[in-house]
Amino acid sequence: MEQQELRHWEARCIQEEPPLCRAGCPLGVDGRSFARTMAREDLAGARAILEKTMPLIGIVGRLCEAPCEQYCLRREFGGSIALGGLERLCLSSVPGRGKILRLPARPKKVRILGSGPSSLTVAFDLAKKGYPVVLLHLADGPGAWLRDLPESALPTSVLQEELARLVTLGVTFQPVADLDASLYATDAGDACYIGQDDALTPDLRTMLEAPDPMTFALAGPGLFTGGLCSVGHPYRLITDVSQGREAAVSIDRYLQGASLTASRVPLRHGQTDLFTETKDVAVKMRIVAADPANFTRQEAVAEADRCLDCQCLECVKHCVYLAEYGAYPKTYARRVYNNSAIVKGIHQANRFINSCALCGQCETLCPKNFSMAELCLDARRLMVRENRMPASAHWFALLEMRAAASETALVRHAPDKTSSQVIFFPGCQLAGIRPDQTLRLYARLRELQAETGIWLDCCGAPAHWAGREEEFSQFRDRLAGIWDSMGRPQVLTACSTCLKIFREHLPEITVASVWTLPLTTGAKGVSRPALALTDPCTSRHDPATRQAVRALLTAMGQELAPLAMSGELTECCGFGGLMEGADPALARKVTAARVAQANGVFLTYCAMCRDQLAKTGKPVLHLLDLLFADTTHPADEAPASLSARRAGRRLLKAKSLEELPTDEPWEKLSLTIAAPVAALLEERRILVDDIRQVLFHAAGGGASFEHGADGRRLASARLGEVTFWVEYRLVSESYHIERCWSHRMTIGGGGES
Amino acid sequence: MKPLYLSTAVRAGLGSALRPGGTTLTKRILDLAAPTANSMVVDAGCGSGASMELLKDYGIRRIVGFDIDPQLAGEARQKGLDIALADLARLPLPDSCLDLVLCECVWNLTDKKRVTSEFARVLRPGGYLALTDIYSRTGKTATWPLPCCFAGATDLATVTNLFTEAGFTVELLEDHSPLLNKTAAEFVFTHGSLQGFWQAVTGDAHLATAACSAAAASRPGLFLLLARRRE
Amino acid sequence: MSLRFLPQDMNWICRPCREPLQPGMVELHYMGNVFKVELPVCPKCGAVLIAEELALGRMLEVEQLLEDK
Repeated sequence: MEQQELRHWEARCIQEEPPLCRAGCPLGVDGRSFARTMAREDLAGARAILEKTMPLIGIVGRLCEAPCEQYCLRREFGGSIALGGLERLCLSSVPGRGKILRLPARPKKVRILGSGPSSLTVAFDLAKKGYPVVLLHLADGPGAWLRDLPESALPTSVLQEELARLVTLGVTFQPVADLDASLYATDAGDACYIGQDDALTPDLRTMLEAPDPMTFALAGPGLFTGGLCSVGHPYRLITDVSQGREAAVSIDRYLQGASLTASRVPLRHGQTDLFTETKDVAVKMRIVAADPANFTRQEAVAEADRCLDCQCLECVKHCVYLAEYGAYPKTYARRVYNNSAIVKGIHQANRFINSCALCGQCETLCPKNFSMAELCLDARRLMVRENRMPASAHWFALLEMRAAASETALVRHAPDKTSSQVIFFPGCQLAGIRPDQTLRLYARLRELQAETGIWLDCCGAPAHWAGREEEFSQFRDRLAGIWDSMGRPQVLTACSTCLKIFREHLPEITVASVWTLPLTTGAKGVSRPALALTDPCTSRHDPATRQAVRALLTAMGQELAPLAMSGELTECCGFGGLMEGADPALARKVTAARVAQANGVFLTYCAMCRDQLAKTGKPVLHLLDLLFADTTHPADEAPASLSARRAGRRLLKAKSLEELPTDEPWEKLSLTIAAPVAALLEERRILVDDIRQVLFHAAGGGASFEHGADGRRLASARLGEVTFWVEYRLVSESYHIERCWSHRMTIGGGGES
Repeated sequence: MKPLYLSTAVRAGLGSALRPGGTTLTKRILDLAAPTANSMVVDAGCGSGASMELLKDYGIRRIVGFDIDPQLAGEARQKGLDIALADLARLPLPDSCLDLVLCECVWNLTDKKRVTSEFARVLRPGGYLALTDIYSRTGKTATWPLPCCFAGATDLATVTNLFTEAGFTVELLEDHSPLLNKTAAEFVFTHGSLQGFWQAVTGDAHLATAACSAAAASRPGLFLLLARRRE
Repeated sequence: MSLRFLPQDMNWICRPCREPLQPGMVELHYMGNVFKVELPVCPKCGAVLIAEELALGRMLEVEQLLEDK
């Protein structure tokens, strides 16, 4: 990923956009954090948040007219949060920290004419940056109209305190008789600010033209002005302070010889891209203070607690994977970028990249269509290209894919037919998990169209998900070749993933879901209570198939229970994107989260989803259980083991050929495997078939050991990338399997010590 | 507690160079910075002198090693190398006198900001600093239960910023985490697990668990940085 | 670095050779890394026994470290 691409990705995640209050504050005060901190009764922490961005906090915090409140998302749900009132309570309750950090002194001098709020702000901001500031004010003292305010609005002591603080920051106050043009003519410093929110003489005022509205620069070099707000303006103070702040930014840039406008962010006036879902927000009325002028502490905390804490997090709220890593896509994009940016060999986010289910839910939920699937799949492809994909990440799924596409693959026309109008492609999971139902479905398809061939194979999705572009493209070519040799029939598949792969990667092939056909036979099935229908995640963008499934269910009189995230918002079962191989524990969490969303029995039309969800012990039915009463499996049937799936595919191939399986020699070995050992095999991803091959290999003179005393035997063989070990006893010609384990390291060298 | 690099488990596992990959990265540095026979070189944090010996083999004559640990410095001196005991933040050298400073897996143990400025002071403009150390691959700094190079590790952006601010131009930044992983793998073989390794180092199961969770949080990686003192 | 991983129970015999296993130096390879370790080996044919504990303990941890999974 290039830096530019990273920016592009980052820009599409809006979680870090400011909340409306902050976007509506001309000083950019973080109202959301302030309110959340107040709600926790941490008033000192809340004051610290204000101090980060607010100049002259004692004055501004008390007098701010809170323009932010116009934008607050709470407005429609009981009234905006009273941020202005909260600020006043906070400031009157918590004393200031005292000393403000000042940067090392700089040589360039700043001169300020006038002492209104805008001028004081310029003085505050620039003195903090280390500039020596001289501020000229009228003889009655600095502050201009602030001095006329009643004690209740701004206590004199507070004004004096803030002025004293400016002095400690290095501001020199200098009284003058008149604020007139001669002051500017005699000494303008290196830069000069003229604050119009003070009693300037008419000759000075007429000399000033309108400044640039963004930078507050005048035409003359080093000359700036602000404080232009009219007396009756509803946001008079904050507007003048904001103009002072912007002028100070300009003066700093000017004195450093930088452009006044380059990469300068204009005021947002409440504009933000942050999206916050409000459909579940309940109305909560604004707290009415007993004393209308001031909140009590208790009232303030309750008022602050009404803050909606505006966030987007639409994707994270619904995705266990995104929540697991504790952040949101913008930071994830950076994590993925860092994974590939540095020169060589870095693997920081491998598991993160490989755990995404690639299900596309986030993209559908995101107001800006951020796709973690695209981000992660690109990263996987890069890892494969650069040869740094961990060998074990997708190993087992790829092995299964290759076996399904060779050993157990088959393509043929219907019996007694020499051509196919359509061809049934059940998909490798249905074939492995439910071979009997696959044949039943095939029989029904031939009732509808006699010239229906059968094609047992894998669509190559694991190679695609694993980022193995080359292997996937070979797979695609192979599938296209087979389809061509069968006379280019329409393909009917029972798997949403196969359907998606065919549609997106083999567009020349006409393909449809079997569920779009009139499969119901009229036979009366069992009547069941409402079922929670979970759509496979690969059907997300296939409304036609989803509708067809519902139509079939309606035709059968089957009612459905509500399930929140379904249809185009459906969730992954925990297998998608090969998540299960990369992070089995996370996959279990995903599965558990899905089944927790509805009580009662689940229903799906993807064999993989069925068995994945059933791992939790939840009763789950497959659509075929409803369609064909003669081959129904119980909803609480345990998921098929990996070995059983391999065997199921083999059985299906043999039955399709209407002949006995052509056994490999090792399949004749007699094995005894107790239930706990079978569970161990499943957990360690060791197939019974692997065990047979190891034992067969040992019987032919391969590596094999025998215990000197207790009769245990140990056989081992390397099958592909893994070395398997089988510990067993031979009891009357049958292998009693006791333990099995494997490792990926290879053994070289050897010899005596 | 002893610092990590002086613990028996680490010294036994790493051998004389006392860092992951031994002198592998030192050779890479020599390829990249290509000092000549006349170059003035300092090994900052020379330990027992493994890199200095390698540089001598490459024909570099003018090389001085500094270390703060008297025991390791003593071992280096035994090998006939020019060694001085010194704090890397206050090198007993004039300004702009060096062509190359080597600093291998030491920097994180120091006051980094001061030491980096000191390197900038003693290098001539255009001179090279070659530095290897641990960084945090998650960007998180974790709490480590003992003084070690992992404890001072930050993310790479922080590393490069420190050098840029101190007057260097970062010319190359490479990740060499596989070397660190290989070292970790050897420790696992020796001690049964990473937990076992930290237990051997700290002698305490709780501290070992703390070290393992710190490692999981920060995911330590190894980097090589080549920076040039700006003109 | 040489490491010794001999199971407590060394009473194993290589079936093809009928030889009792003995400690022997073996190289374990993974992703371009080589580790020299001492394991039970058949003195005649060199067959090596990897016990379950080793395979699922140290070896697995090392594999995952090197894969940086």
